Amino acid sequence: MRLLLLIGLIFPVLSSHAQGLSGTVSGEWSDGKKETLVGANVVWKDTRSGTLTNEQGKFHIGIPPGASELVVFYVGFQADTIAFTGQKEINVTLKQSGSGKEVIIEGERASTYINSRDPQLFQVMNEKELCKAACCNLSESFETNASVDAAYADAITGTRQIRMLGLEGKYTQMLFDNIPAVRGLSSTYGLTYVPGPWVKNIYVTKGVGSITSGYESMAGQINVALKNPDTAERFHLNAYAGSGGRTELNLVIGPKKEHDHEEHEGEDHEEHEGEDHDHHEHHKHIKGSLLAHGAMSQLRTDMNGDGFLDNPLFSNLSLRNEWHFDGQSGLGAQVALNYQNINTISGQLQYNPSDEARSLLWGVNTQTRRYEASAKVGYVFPDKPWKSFGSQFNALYHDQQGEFGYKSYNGQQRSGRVNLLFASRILNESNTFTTGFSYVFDDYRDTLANSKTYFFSNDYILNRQERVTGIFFEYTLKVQDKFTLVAGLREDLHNAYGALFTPRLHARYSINDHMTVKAVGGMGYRTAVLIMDNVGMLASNRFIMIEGDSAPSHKYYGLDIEKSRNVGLVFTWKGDIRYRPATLSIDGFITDFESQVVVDYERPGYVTFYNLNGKSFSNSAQAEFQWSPVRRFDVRLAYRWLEARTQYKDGLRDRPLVNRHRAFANVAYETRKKANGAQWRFDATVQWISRKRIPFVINNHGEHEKEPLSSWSSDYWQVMAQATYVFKTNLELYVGGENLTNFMVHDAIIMAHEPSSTLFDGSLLWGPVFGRMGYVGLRWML
Amino acid sequence: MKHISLIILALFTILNLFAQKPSKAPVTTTFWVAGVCGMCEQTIEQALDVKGVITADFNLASNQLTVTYKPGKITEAQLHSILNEVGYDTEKSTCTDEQYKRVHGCCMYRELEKH
Repeated sequence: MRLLLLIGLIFPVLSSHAQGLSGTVSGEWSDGKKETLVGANVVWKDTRSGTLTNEQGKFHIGIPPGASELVVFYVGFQADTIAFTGQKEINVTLKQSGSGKEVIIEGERASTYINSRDPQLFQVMNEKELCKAACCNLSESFETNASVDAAYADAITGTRQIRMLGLEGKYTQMLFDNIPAVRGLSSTYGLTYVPGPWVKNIYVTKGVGSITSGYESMAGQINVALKNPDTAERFHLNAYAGSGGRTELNLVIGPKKEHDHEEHEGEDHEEHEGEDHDHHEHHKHIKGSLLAHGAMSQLRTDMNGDGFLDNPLFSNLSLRNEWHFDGQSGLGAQVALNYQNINTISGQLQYNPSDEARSLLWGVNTQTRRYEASAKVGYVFPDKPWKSFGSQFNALYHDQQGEFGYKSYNGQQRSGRVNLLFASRILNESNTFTTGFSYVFDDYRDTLANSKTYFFSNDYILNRQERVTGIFFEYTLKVQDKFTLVAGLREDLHNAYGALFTPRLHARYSINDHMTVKAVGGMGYRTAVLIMDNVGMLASNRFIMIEGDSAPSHKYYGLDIEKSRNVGLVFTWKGDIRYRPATLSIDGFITDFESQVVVDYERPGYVTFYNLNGKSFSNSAQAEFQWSPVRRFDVRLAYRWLEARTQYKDGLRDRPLVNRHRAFANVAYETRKKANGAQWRFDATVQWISRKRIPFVINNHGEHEKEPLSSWSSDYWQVMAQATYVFKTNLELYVGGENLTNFMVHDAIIMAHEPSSTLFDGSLLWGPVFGRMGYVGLRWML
Repeated sequence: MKHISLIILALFTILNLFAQKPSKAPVTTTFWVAGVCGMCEQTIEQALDVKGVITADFNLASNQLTVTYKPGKITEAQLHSILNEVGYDTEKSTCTDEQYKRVHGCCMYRELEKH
């Protein structure tokens, strides 16, 4: 009986094999190790008829008439030609070729994909992903990403901040083109300074990042690749208008692409984009690009009816000018200049900073100016592509002044950074290393003062200077394509906190062609920037208290440097489901603080800073599934769980305003492209955000909440959708809607009716204050 | 127990019958296509975005195109003629000079071979 069953199962498998030539292809590495080659090419010479080896390295090929020689080749190995004399089976071993040139082949690729090759990198988001949200700036682009939460900073200024692994954005290191940016005074607002249309790719690393860019990445690292002279379009114009009153204009101007269209006659196929010409070399030695962004919102809206503006009024101007120099003999340099000017007004509806009567109203009025210059100089040794010298220089001046209700703030940051790197290999190409030296200088002038005399005094002058000298060494071991290990060590000398030792380890192992496991572990440090890290607290009348240790005196305000340990495990499966590509990724991360500056909102009317005395941790787990069931249709499902708790003065509690669960589904569909490039693109995202803990507050009726020490917000759903019509490849029009469920937090501001109360508080925002919003936009490229 | 085995056997037999029906089960085939760059890859893969083709993946390094298609909806010969139509030679059929001119200037693989 069982036998019959077995035959029934096996028969169709056997019958698919016909006559022909079979065999296996394996590769021999320079160190003598052998492995089967998957996807190796087996071709009959001079016939163009061929096949690829399967997952076991086996192939089966039909025999065309007159076949006499079989050619077998695989990237990175020497090709082999075998005489065919009627054998039934041929087993071939290819030798590794001298140049370990890696060829990257891109097929249909999703707009966000989990990276399973790089041991440090978790996920890559490209331009297409950034077009999914209304996405005026970077903090909003993470609405379609499960690993990064886009949270609200406060109920008054309307700014968004990101959170990774349940930890505030300040614990995630932000890099622009591999140079640390968004540090210090801009740690909370920083992402809003980057307009979406400037971005080429975003590389997300979960957990600690590479030590070559410093000790700061504690919960994650986000590297933003901005459009530069090599990647910028010749011309890209983006205009946007939202029903919330926000209007934007973005401009990207790149160098003229050097494609010799004139040399060849024939029809001009417009659907081909310039970037895809990869077999043309650029001969120009100096190339420049200009990115410009202007945004404005002057419409006063109050959808949740609390008498306060939902979104701030603002005017932004940002410019970035970048130059690339490609010298002969391996020398190259890049210089980028940045300028930003941002003015915002928020608070009570009638508040107007130029009005004499403003002192009677609660309002926020800020002016920020930022100048930044960065340069990279690199040298690659001729004939030794693995040996290079790199240097990064960065200088920045940030000035922010503002009025936050009854407080006034004045802050300046002057920073300089030098990072020198040398990369080479030891013995062979499977052992490489990067080593170097860094020096970071930060000067902060930070003043917080009361502007109202009747309010009790809460003045702080938080000036300080940080000088950090560091050395680092990062070793990478690559065992074929199977295993990669990156071990990094750095030692820094901080002028106030002494020696800081940072070990980090990243490992990646391919179980087979479909499954990969990555492990991450390491330490991270950070000095807290009290006011601007927690700028949301200024959207309240909370009294700010710093309760540092009185000794030793070298610490800034008696507070420790924040120090964390982070470990994580990522499992990825990539394969086909019903012939179509799918990815499943499951990960878990644990972050544990050894020391931390606790920001305590637990006592109404106060924000207290003190050193952690006890536990503070964040555990998170996430599963993400991505599949394209039919062509041009993509589905993404994700769920993330986390537990983030900190020891406050009165107990170990969930970190405030952090949701334990988040689930989302994203679907994207494109119609078939017409000959002139015309097509429709649709995108929709649904997400569920679970309840969040709200620290102890006295509610709008002057009563305590039922639960004595804290309360919980409700959970909520959010839906956003967008449709884009592409007229031809260079002109797109899009319409979309955000917050389609029209969910709003109505009592976001506590004591909104009495802004002079000491309990007046807009700092505990857990959801949107602005309801349903529609927008239209246009992209025009040349 | 026997009944269950019988039912399972019957089920598999039916499934096998379905599986062997050529018009239903998708077929994967791999063949050589001319093409020299990422742009060619895009053109080739996009040209095969037609009814009946489930996936089309062109490997630039080996010039091998892997196509999974539903034989009831499209034939292998049609795949080759579609590629000829956009100007690309395949291992089974060569496009006319007229068709070849449709290839973008930088992708003129016949000229590149001559150099």
